[in-house]
Amino acid sequence: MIFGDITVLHVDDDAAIRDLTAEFLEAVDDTIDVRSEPDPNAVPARLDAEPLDCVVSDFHMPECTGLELCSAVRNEHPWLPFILFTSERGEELAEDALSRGATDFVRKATGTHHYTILANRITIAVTRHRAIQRLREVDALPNGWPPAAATPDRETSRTSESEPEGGFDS
Amino acid sequence: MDPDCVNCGAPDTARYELMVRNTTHEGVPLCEECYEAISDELDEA
Repeated sequence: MIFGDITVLHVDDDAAIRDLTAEFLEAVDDTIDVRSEPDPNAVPARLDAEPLDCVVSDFHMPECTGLELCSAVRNEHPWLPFILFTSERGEELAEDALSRGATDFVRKATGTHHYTILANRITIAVTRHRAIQRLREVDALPNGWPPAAATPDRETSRTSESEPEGGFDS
Repeated sequence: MDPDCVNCGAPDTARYELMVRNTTHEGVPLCEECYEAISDELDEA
């Protein structure tokens, strides 16, 4: 099902942010169910054990960075939507995240609007991923596509780098 | 040195108490703007 409910694993070491993110994402979009995880090292096991559609990760965590987690996830789940959700500034980080296989990069901003942006990006990433999986199932993808070293939507992925503070009003 | 705002990363923060999902989070470092925006949203929920 391409447009079904979405189960997200949100990884952040801060308990308040885990609860806030779950609260606001589920309030913005009632098709999104958020599960939380404080320990990035536990993510691979959770991906193996639970039917998760997307990983959303903070950047700064005591155990490892969000970029390191992205690389670890990509080893076993090359196409699973992975979104870096951070208050870190700098175009370099966004580029690094995408080059490591992150599907998208959403920057936190003052207030709560960035949770709406994140919900939209999750929906877009998961819907696109499901559509590609469906095409793969009916053998409708060209041979060798998507390339193994890239996420399926790398070429068209839009990052928050070009957005105004607080993102677009989409 | 106070930690940055956990919601947006701003450096100018104070410690607040937040009740989210039936859990009380004490001493959450937030900037004033984020605290007000979050409180408003939580009050509406």
